[in-house]
Amino acid sequence: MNAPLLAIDGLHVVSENRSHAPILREVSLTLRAGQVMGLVGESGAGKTTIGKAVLGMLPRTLRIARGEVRFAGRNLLALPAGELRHIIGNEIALIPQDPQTSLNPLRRIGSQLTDGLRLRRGLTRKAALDRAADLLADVHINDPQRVLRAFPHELSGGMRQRVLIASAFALEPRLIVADEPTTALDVTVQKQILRLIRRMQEAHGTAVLFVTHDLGVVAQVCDQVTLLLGGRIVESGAVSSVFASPSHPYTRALIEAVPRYDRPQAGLRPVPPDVLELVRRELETTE
Amino acid sequence: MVEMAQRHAGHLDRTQSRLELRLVLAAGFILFLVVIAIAAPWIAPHDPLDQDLFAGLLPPVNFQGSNPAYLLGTDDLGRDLLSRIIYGTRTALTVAAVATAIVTIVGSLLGLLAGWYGGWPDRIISRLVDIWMAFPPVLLSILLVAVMGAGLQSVIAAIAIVDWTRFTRVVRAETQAQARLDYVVAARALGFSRAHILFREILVNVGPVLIGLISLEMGVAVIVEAILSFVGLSVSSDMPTWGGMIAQGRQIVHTGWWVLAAPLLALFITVLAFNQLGEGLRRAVDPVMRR
Repeated sequence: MNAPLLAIDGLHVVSENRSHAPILREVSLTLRAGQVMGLVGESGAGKTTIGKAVLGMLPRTLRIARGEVRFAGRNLLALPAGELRHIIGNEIALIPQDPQTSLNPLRRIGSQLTDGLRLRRGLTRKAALDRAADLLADVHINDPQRVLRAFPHELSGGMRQRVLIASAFALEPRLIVADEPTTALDVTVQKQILRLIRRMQEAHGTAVLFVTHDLGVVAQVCDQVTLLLGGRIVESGAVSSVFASPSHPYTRALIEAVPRYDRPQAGLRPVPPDVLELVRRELETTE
Repeated sequence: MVEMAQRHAGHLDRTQSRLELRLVLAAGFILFLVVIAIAAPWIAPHDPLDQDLFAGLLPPVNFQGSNPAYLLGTDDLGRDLLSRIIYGTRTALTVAAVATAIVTIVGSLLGLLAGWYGGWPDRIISRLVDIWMAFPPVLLSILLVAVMGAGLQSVIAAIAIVDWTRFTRVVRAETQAQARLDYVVAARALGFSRAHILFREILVNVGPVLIGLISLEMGVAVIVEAILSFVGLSVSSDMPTWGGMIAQGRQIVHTGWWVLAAPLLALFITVLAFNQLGEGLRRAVDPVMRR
């Protein structure tokens, strides 16, 4: 009935160097409007690559061999650069990984936050600043006027991540790619930021592609989860059903490996070697 | 712990005040030069071209045989050295300002383009810089002025043609470094055009480096102008220049050392002030360093 907002179909990405090693292998997933999808995997599993492909920002060292990324029915990979730029920022936004470096260090927050509003929405400087102050208030910044005048280095990491979240929601996009938005923050701040993203997402009805390696984060904010390993989807489905009854031994092992306070005597459980062996064989057969 | 923090804060305060002193002294001296250059006809005690053979080779005041009417003494033709230095400031500052402005605009624009777009624009610009830097700079500028003919415009043009490579190289490297940073990725994810990102995001971050480079270049321009005057390829001889005065002083250094020393000192302090101004400004405008 309602078509998916984002549909990735058989996306195959290979490295441009001599090895032509596949980075993503025939990845397909769909995300409906207003849903939060967690992309989980180890380092190098390809989760960030999916996010970059959606934003049209794959590095030059990677090449899309085949597949489609359809956003609201249009294949982003086939769009000319001008039209793609119209969608990126307007309808698809990014919450970057590292709030320390993702703001321009030499421009005041107000000036950075109003760029999109002025250029894309045609607001005057004054109106854009008012709107930016509202956005900052939405992300629980108590004194928006002070923050608007501040330089990034004058704010804490958590504050900067709030500013970046406000910036991502500024143009009311329909999809946000969150690239491990809490990795660079300390644990107490992480929780606040996660709750904030979830609340903003619900209030605006925004779909979120949430890249993370933390299953706890997935359980907290996501509706859907997709598990990646070596560039391939291992398992995908609603968070509740995947966590309750994982079908793939790798998923099961990962969930087992999460330390839990209700069974401290179990200690840490690494992924068992026979599961890794199984996974390795599976990867080889698809070559 | 608290004590340590306090000591640390005190240390920061001290470095900061020293930086400010450097900036104030250098900027003050350059402002002083600008005023002198503009007001030369009213400030100079004598006509810089007026010869008085009876008052030739008078030493500066406080030396035996000096005349208080000539503070820095006179040269072998009896011209007042102080007045000549004051008028020489005009040539020096004009060349420094105009040549540096041209070099800054052309050089950094090329550097921004090469650093940001990469690929063939970068290859062409970088090879051009390599070729350019293979020429010995002073000889190249002397050759250029010799071809174009002496005069203020030629001197400025020669400096601009020789020195743009410095800006291009530094700005290109800085642009490349900035382009890799996350805030540029974040700006791209907002869908801004490449030109917008280059001029709104990257240029401000190249700014601190550029400011240092600009005032360094002003010092270089003053020196190159002096060199060209020294070899007699600058403005015509009825306009006093520091370089011309140094050339003249060199010939009579055994009979009147001050004829050489006065313009040398003026040149030395001016270039030093420009260099210190660059360092001071760079630290003062960078909001990260200012804290």
